[in-house]
Amino acid sequence: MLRAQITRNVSLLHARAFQTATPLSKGAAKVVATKKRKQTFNPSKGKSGEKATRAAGSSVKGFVHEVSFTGYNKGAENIAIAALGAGALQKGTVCAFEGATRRDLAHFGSFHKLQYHELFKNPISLVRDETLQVDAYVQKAVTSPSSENVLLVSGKGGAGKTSLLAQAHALALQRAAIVLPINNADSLVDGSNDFLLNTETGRYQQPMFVKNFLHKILCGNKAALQALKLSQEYVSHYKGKQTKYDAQTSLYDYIKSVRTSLDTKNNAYFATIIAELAKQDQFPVFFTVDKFSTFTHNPYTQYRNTENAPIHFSDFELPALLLDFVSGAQSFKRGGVILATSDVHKRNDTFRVMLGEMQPRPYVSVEEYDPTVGQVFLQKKVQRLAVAPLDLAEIRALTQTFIAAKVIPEKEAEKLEDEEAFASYVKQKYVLSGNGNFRELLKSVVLFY
Amino acid sequence: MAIHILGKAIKGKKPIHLGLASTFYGIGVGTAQKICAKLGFYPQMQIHQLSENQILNITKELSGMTIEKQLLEETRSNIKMKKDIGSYAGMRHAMGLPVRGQKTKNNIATARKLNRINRKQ
Repeated sequence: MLRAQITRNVSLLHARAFQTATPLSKGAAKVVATKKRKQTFNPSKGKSGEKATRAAGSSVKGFVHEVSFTGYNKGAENIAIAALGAGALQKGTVCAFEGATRRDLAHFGSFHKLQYHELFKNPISLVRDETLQVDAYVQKAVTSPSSENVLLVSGKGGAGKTSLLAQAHALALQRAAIVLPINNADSLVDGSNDFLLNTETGRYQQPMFVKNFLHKILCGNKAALQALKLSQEYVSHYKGKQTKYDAQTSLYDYIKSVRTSLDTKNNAYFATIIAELAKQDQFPVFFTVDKFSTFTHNPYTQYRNTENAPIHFSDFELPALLLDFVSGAQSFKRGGVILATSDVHKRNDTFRVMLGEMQPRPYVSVEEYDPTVGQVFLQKKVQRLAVAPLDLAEIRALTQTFIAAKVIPEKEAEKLEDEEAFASYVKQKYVLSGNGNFRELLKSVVLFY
Repeated sequence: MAIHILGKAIKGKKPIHLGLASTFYGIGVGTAQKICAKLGFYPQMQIHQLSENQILNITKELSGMTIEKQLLEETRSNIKMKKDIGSYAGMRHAMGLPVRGQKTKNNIATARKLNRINRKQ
């Protein structure tokens, strides 16, 4: 029903120009006909002398993208929800990401498609036990080195790991931290980005991915990066042009400048940026990775070397750097590393060793157990946080928000005014959601009406 | 936007390895992946992203391989040789029947189509 309605709205959106045109009288139609501009397919002749500019990429997006990012939230019901605030979190309450936090999280890509954020003015989030634990973790991490603060978030598919990561981003930003968010580690290994071999380091670089990653960092951490100055002078080279950066240059300007030069041969710009962040202690830095289990799922990437052999993920600059921060070989002076697993990846031995559920077995294939990841988690003391299913009280709080936001239609909501009926409805939702699965609960509410 | 390699047009939206495999006789997905790996293309790179130099590199690789007409001629000459020496395989080719011991009670459409002295592509 909702899907049909949204599809209709999307098509109406495109057809509005034709619908609003009023019929003309015969005389007026003649005048218009004489003034009619000659139609042409040449974009340079579209307007008088101006060359038409065309946005890159296709303007026709899929249904899911259209629903998530066409601004349907603007028409959503206004409801009074408190903003998610660090240090003042109350378990079982529904909060919203608002203002600057919401804008920065949108830049980070913390809000995903099919999380149904378009149903609310501001994306909402439930404060749970896990949120309080993450809040305590962030509180501790802002005063201690990142090597001591590695947090691994695990749980079943749809349990709310990605939502918890978004909360962690918000809580870190509210404590004036710099967040380095990788919200889909799959794209580091699936062969969707270009790669170059840096012959000096012997590692492969991914300029396209790193460029987008730096863009997110720039947009989401603007104020902090502008306040940071470089610790030494640097020189960049791009297309025969040399640029010098003195120690007074802000890290923001440096990143903005070198972001376009990442495809130059044997460059060390990204390593320099991370080294600069590691040197400073003005701001805590949080490295967050969603779908980290992609490295345990298949350690060999889709990329192939010149001899057509698959390349191991640790031969890439960014994943290797990430492993360094997890193992503690590199560390930010203040901050932490937050990793979240994904349910789409297989639970092999590496995955179980990572979660601390077993010791590695000898004589198993690399696909089953990859020592590169396994050893890091065997030697390193990692905080593990398993996201539990929702309980009845949490489902009750969420249902009340859905009723207030009119996600559950008013006709249905009227039937739930009686406390007994409401309690029965909550129990029904608990069962329908597979005993408290967040994603299934949302589906059962959103896609039902 | 189509790109022309060795006089053949390949659709720009295709991944390079699939574009090469579907365009040239004698190049399958495996061979195309080897070429891409050798030339340093990433797996999901598309045909329209190729620069002029990269197209030239692909052309160079393909020119050194036995593909298209050359490969077809080689196949035809092998079949002809088998027929000329009077082998059983040559005879079966000439008769348009399966060569490798397949049964002929039903379904020999592929053999009828392909097994002939002047084999088609």
